[in-house]
Amino acid sequence: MLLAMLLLYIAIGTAIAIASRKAGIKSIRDYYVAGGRLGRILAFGTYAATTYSAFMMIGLVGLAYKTGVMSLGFELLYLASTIYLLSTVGHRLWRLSKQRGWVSPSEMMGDLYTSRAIPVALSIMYLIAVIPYLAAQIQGVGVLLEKEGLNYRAGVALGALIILAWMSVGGMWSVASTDLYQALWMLAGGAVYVAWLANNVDKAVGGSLSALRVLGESGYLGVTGFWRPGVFLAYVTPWLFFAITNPQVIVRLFVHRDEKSYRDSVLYFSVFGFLYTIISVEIGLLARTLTLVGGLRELGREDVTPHLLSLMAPYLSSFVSVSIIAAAISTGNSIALAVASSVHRDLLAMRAKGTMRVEYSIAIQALLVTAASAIALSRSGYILDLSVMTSVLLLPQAPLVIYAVCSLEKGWPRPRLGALASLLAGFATALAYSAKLGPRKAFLSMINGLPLPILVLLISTGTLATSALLSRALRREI
Amino acid sequence: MLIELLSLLLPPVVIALMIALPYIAFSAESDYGLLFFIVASTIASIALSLLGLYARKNGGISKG
Repeated sequence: MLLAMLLLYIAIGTAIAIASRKAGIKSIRDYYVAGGRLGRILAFGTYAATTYSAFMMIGLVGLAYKTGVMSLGFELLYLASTIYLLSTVGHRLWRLSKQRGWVSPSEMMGDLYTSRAIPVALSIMYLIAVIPYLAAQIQGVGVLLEKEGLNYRAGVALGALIILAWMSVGGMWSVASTDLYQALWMLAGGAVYVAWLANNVDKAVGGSLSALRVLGESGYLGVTGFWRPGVFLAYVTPWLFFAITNPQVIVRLFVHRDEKSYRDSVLYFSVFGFLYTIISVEIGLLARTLTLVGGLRELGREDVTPHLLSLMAPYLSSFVSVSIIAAAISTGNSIALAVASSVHRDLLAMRAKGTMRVEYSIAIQALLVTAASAIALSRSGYILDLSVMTSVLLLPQAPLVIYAVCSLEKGWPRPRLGALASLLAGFATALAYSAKLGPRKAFLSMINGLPLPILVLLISTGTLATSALLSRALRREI
Repeated sequence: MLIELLSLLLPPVVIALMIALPYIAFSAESDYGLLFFIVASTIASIALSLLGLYARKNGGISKG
């Protein structure tokens, strides 16, 4: 049953990817950011499917199951902050992208700080920080298909092939078109999943209000022991700034056709994000209700969704499994295309003239996906650990982006060396603690009483602020 | 102008409250209050942000 559903998903997605080429790719900007010509529906769909990965239906469901309602606070804080950033800083960056013709997120940063070194540094940072995240998506596809009886290696190869095919055929056009299709599948899969579970909980405890009562009496609607303030801050901080630190979402600020497309896509994304988050957390809480009333054995955090899928009728579990695979694929190809744009423009084309062509991009994409697949094939738990650190490693970009946008209005100096130092200092701090303590432990460690993400943010902000103040003082002296 | 200012200033305040208030006001168990607070404050923050985005006429948080 899963194989049939998977074939249907692949056939429709491939047809959409090929059809998207009708949009016409005349330049490399067309290929990487759809020439800034996406309408509101495609722009919304690609933002939604890129942002929400397989983490939602596996990681967040497990987190809600184990730690209760504060996981909803953590994920909705991300959404509230993202909509705020998209409505302010992001909107400004979209308008600038129209004037400046940016194709990569690292190019944007280099342009804002008139620096050649920053794009190079950022491209390397993206390779280090984001490739494990890409590998985790491919690994996720392999694990899900393995649970349905397919060979793990075949699952990894299939995941990599879909990512590469749907990305290379039309660049941002094919990625955005298949993303919209996958976003719909993700939401439908989530709705089916939660409806099936709610029906089972209804039979066990008699309605959702009774389920809330059971959860409340067990403390899952309060602040559970897991969510100590330091842990909550460690989780929330990187996600608050996700929209302006992760290359695959930054590049989606350059794709909108006009003002209406930008505004409406943000509105639609807010509705999608809210629904998808509520669905994911509700699944975790409903599963916990079943465990509390004895209808389900105690499960591990990563086992909730795989176990529940095994209890569903095959046609339902196949549909939901493919929706989770869609979430992984849509995030995977968006990551690979965004990193390829940075590597292509800011590492390769700046050095070798005449290489800013689609063929070179496809070669880079193939290399990135092959490297990530090789990592995924090793099946090391370290990949998942490292992917947790991705947003912390990219966090030093946040003060740079916010400061650059504010400085455009105020006429403040934008010190290129200070910006580079800020970026490197924050990144080196996160990397050093990852190496010293291991990524997962580093993520939740308190260093001098501060969670690591806060420390990284303070170091990069402090370095940037100091150099900006010095530049200002020097400018006055002159 | 007022809407733009409020949409710029209020969402960060709501977001800060979403981080701090659970530890000040909702640490007690067996309560639906935290659930409703999280949902209501998210909707308020998103609505304010979107209001600012749609109200903005010159197309940016600054003149640039």
